[in-house]
Amino acid sequence: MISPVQIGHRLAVLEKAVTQDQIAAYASAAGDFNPIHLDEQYAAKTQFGRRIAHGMLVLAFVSEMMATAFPREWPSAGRLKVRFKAPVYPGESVKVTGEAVGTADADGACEVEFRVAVVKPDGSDAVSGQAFVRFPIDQS
Amino acid sequence: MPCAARVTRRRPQIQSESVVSNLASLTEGHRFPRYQLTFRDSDIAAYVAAVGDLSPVAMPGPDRLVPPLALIASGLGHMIRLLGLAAGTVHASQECEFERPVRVGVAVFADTSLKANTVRRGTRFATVETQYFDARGQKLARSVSTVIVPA
Repeated sequence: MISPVQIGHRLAVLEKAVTQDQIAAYASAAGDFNPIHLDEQYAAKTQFGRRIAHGMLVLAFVSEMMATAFPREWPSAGRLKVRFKAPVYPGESVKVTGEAVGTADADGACEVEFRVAVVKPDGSDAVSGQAFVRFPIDQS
Repeated sequence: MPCAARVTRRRPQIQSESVVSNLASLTEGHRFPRYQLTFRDSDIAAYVAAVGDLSPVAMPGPDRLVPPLALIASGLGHMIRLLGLAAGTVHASQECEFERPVRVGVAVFADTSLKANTVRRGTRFATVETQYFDARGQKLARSVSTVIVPA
């Protein structure tokens, strides 16, 4: 099997700044009004001490990176499996990274595995896990 | 005024969003009522603007798709409201599978079940699985979300 993506290939890094306005806009768009994201006084009493970005907002950056690299395959043959390891606070900038780390046969397709992460300013991971993209195997 | 009251509610049209369950009373395997959601172009524009998505699939135009994660996020938002999850609930892990692209204006049907619902050291961990289908019954996507709910 010839992989359409070479192992070790790194996807174009995305850099994203997260703002409180963006978090409020995301709450509206996704319908998630948990006060831990929106209410400063409430969030101050939580384990995080202040408001945090929605996990799915941060994960959207990973999906954007994958959709940019594979616009045809990602919406119809993509998979994600991640853990939210640390919060992203408004005002922080994060880097979104992806690297091809393996391939496997998957129902007549070649599935490429990427290690993906959203990295905080201090170098720790906010999100980490795997993304997978299936590519049809050229039969010609 | 709390910040939450200032945001405008703008999200996909979702039918069958009247039932509120008590998560603590639900057992693993519980199935929630099927619901339908439809993304309008304005929904996608709001989502894309919020997350700052510059990928080709999110761009306006005749080929614009519902960003894959927008579908999953809307489904999760629906479950959060349906379950009346406590303030302070946080997202622990997420799995997504995308099988077919979703187009603007197309009805999507969602079937959700409770995969796990446990309490450990006073904290509840709940895992919900949602499968998304089109009107012909073709699978569009699957989502598995684990959330941590304060006791």
